[in-house]
Amino acid sequence: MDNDALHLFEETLARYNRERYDAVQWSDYGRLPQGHAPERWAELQAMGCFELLQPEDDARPAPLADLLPLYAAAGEALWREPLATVFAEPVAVINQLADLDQRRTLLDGLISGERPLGYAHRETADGAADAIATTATASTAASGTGWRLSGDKAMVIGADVCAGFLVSAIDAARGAPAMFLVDAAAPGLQLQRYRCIDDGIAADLRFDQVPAQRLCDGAAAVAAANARGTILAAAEALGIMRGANRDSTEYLRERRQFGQSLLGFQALQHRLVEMLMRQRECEALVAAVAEAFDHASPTLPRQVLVLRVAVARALRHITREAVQLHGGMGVTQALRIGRYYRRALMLDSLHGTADQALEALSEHS
Amino acid sequence: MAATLHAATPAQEAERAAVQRAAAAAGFDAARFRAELRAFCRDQVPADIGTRMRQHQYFTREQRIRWQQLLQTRGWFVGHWPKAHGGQGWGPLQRFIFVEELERAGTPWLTHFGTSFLGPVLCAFGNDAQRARFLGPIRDSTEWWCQGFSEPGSGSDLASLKLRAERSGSHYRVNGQKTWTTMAQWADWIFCLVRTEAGGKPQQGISFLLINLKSPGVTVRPIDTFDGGRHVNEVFFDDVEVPVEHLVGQEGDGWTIAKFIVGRERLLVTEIGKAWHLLGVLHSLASTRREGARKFSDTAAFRRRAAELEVQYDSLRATAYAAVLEAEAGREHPVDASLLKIRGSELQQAIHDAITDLLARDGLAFQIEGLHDDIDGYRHGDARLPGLLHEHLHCRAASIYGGSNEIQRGIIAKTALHV
Ligand SMILES: Cc1cc2nc3c(=O)[nH]c(=O)nc-3n(C[C@H](O)[C@H](O)[C@H](O)COP(=O)(O)OP(=O)(O)OC[C@H]3O[C@@H](n4cnc5c(N)ncnc54)[C@H](O)[C@@H]3O)c2cc1C
Repeated sequence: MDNDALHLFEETLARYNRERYDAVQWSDYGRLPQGHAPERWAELQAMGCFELLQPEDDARPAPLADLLPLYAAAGEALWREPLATVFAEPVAVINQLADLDQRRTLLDGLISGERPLGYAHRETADGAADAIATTATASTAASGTGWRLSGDKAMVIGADVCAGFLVSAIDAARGAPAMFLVDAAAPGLQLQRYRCIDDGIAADLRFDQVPAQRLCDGAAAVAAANARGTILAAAEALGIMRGANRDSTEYLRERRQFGQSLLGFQALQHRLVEMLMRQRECEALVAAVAEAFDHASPTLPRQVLVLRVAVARALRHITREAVQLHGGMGVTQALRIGRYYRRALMLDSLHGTADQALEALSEHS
Repeated sequence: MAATLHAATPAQEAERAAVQRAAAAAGFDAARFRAELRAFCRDQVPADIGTRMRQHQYFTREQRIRWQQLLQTRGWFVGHWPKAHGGQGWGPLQRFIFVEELERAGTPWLTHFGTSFLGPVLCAFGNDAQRARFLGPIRDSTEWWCQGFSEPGSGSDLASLKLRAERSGSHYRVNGQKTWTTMAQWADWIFCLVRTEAGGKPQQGISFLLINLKSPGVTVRPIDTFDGGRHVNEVFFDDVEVPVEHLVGQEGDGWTIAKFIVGRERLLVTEIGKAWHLLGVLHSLASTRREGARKFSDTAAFRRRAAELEVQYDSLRATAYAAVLEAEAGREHPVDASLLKIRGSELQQAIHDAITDLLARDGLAFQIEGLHDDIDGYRHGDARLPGLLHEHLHCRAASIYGGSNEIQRGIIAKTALHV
């Protein structure tokens, strides 16, 4: 996207947020059984957002950098739509496929909105979201009817809208992880839904001898998927940081105690300044790492870990401070500040905490 | 300390000599008192309350009352009141040990508004008729009190409060609003700071009034909070008639009484026993989770983080006891009350961060129904998950209520830096 197009896109998104995502609408959408409003999801598609995934040609996937404004808008207004099922991990897995026709078909399914895919990698027992370790296994039946997959996957986002799931499992023939595609309606697949700390809905999946299609080796696909997920989550975090910083500054400007605007107290100005500095640093880092992703930089794995540490820390700091600076109002449901705080916890839970990433960084060579 | 923090049982640490001496001077044996409290919390907690304690669930009004009444069978619930008013005449030290041991055991939070705030206020500032009317029901937990200080326009700047009380004959007519009133939805009565006189220095026109929440013209409206609870409220007063006998002290004494209460609130919110309890939760969670082939509690990363918290905890406990010993000797260090409030809330928040980081590895499901009862149907993760996340979120308010940490730092600056 060139600068003009980018600017226009950001304006469109800002208008969308104003008209479609105020606090009341946010609450209303959340009460729907899916945990989000299907017409918002359809509207994003109609706005052409999904087209951002259209590759330039078979060799060059659409740049991740183009998705950053979309995710920032989602962060600021706390979109409930299951963006990940179209934009995040599935795309990275699909781009790993050697078979170009298969790539094209799966990607078209995402872009048309007809076949969103859930990313089912994480298992509760392994703890870390990044771990390649998986206990789910897939084997080919003796009768030669294809792969059958068994095991448990946890915290799959957007399972309700998905036509299928990308599942990491041990390929029993090779004893190594591989990625499989499972149809959402496949026999033997059970889905348990629940609310999460951000008020969104996730699902745990149980596979019992479920028919599956083997897509590709697992390790590289999981690494690429997690890198993509982490970068987009960082872009979302930027949106939250901007919203939290803007709201906090405005709140302190308006709020009067001791006969003056609270923004007049230097102790509070310095707190806001620290928040703004962290936001600025993260903006720069997100742009740099997205570029590294698009150019398949050899240092990408370390850069992604650095990004995760920096963004997770900054986001927790900023959302914590935003609550504190709002006083009692910060812990109510009336403002989005409390929701930002809870979404920050959820992002840690989905993409790993700063501690986890720092640990991985210190062990990574 | 390290070894005891890793254990799930109450600390076996020896009582400090200074504490023993001060206790002996006050006429009690600190070690024996602790042992008695521990045995009580081990053996006397009703089964339904014990279940909720283990799952970190939210206690009902009835459970809280039942627990307080159980404590009062030993005279403990109002142990800190003067003997002449039905207490045991405990000094600050014995009261602190009492609260610490209850918190360590994870028993329901004492509803401080009656027993810790209004009770002592009536003993110190009230008249005989007021004491005769109100102390008994507080002691027996048959009347529930809440605290009406804050207003929408008066949070940190409490002295600017506007709730108007106008004298007309034998009554005050009260008009205006309080907010953030904790547990007003369960309360029978509210003690309020009201403005009885406009003009002059804002602190001067403030009075302390006891108002029956069942009076005509009172409306209590809950505020939804981000922890999934409904425990704070807006309280509206529309021409509410309050008998003049319900004024505590004289008109204009409100600010002095408020300062008396706020001083006590700060010592209580140190919650050092709760910090100890939460550290136990953290260690037990870490020892039941795995990182590859190891227990998570054996990883260097976890051990370092736990060690950091131990440093914070030991420092705070030492400081808390230093402050209590000073208070026991009738002195007050100018920094203590605010310091304990700041560090107490910071420590609790830091422990909750560590717990949540650990839970995040399993996925942060938040099935709110699990706060009150077993989850009917599918449950993701640990049974304690809803309760611990609720506590994490609620604990963000610990640095806001009772005078925010920013205001506490301002107080220290004023008293210690002489600015
Ligand atoms: C869960 C909860 C329970 C509560 N329970 C009760 C209750 O039972 N009864 C009751 O009366 N009240 C209660 N309160 C109210 C509480 O005491 C107030 O929220 C608190 O005093 C802060 O006031 P405020 O919310 O208006 O914040 P504000 O005063 O508007 O402050 C906003 C921010 O500015 C900062 N700030 C303000 N002034 C200064 C300054 N001079 N210098 C630097 N920083 C400053 C504050 O620290 C805060 O971060 C409760 C609050 C909460 C959140």
